[in-house]
Amino acid sequence: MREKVCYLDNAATTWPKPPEVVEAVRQALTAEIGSPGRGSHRMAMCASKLVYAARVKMAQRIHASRETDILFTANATQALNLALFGAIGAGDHVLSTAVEHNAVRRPLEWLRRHRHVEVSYIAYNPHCLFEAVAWEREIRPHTRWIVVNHASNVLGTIMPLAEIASFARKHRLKIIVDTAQTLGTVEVDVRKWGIDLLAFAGHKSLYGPQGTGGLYVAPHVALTPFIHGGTGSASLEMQQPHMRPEGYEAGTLNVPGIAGLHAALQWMEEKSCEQTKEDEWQLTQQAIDQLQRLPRVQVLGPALGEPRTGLVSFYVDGMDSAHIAYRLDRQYNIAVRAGLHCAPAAHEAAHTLDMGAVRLSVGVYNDESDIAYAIRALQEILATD
Amino acid sequence: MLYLIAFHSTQQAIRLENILDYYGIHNEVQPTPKAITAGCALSIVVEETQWGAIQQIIRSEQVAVYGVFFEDTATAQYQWVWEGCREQEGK
Repeated sequence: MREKVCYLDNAATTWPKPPEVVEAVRQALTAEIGSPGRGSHRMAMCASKLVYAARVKMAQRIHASRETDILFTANATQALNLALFGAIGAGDHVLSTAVEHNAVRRPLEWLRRHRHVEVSYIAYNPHCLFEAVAWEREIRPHTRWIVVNHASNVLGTIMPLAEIASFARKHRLKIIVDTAQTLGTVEVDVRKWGIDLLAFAGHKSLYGPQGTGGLYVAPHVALTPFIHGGTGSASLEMQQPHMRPEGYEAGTLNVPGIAGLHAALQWMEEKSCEQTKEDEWQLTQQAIDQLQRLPRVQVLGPALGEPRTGLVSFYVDGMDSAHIAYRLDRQYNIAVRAGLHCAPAAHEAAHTLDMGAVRLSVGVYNDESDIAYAIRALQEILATD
Repeated sequence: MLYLIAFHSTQQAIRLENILDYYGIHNEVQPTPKAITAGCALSIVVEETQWGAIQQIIRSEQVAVYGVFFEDTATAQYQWVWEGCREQEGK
């Protein structure tokens, strides 16, 4: 067994974090940095400016025109809740897909039950991820929104976001995008593509700390705050102010986390997004090629040679995916994720709801030796099952 | 005379401060007097002579400003100069 962990669960959270990120978090906890937006003494101002600097970097990353349109949240799920509950109106009809994460599916189902929102989940078609004709068939007079993941956390499929956004504009729909699995490794241009709301996770492919995420809200989009409370200003007003960004960030922000995210975004500037994507893709191709040679193993998602994010999910006929992950961890020190990955709809679409899947997901610190080691371990597990 | 640009949002204040610094327009960040708005909001103090250029910047960059004031020394009251881009504040 390897002494050093073979970490292949980067789709859950990337690990390890770059040393620059660790140092930035340490600095934020020990340097003279106070509470952002609370008071105007130098320590408070230092915190406010640090948070602002992170907004600037984040806005640059997605090509947003105003950094104050970046709202920080604790994670992508909170950002998606803010978007879905704050933007979708009672009686609206929403187009979404059958491979959404529960961070989208559950809020939509709540809105369906309690706010008379109608939702159409477009079926997963492995041969055509976005078929405009199929989506057009679902449009109704009161259709207002498209809610879609940029990439599936189970299948690794990458949706043609520019094309979907163009479709949305053509039909005068607004679009909410979940980029939890892509931002950092897949380029996104909110202005060029016309994205209305975009949720991101700071701790996945952006390499920031856990507890960071956010929502981009286009200047023209009206949004109702989701969390009400102190904003450090307009204190006499009894109603939550709608000003961006603080009106949507009630309570003290996670400054150490945001400092780490800022450092991560700086660190990423030195890397080519396309190169990272290519490097990760090559590792997935190595994994798929090897997995397909193993008996009883079925790989999910795009075929060998097709675009995908840095993850490969598979199942083994007759074996519980959780049992495989457990043995990989305990016998080989390999960290992978098994089960339904908080995305039962995606598993339903892939017909793996009963058995779940094992997911290998790579990051910038993985190389071919990690994949080779994981495949050898799996071969041994299959041989002894 | 000095003009005081008041904000409800600290982040919007920092944004304008950065933009003014970029254009080389002298400015001072200070706490907003409670007579203008309660809370921990910030203001930016600028020379009246610069106001025309700053107003254009605020409009073109869509900075959310609560209001612009000057202190009437005779009455020690703050007087409104401009109501700001309040639609940017979600008003």
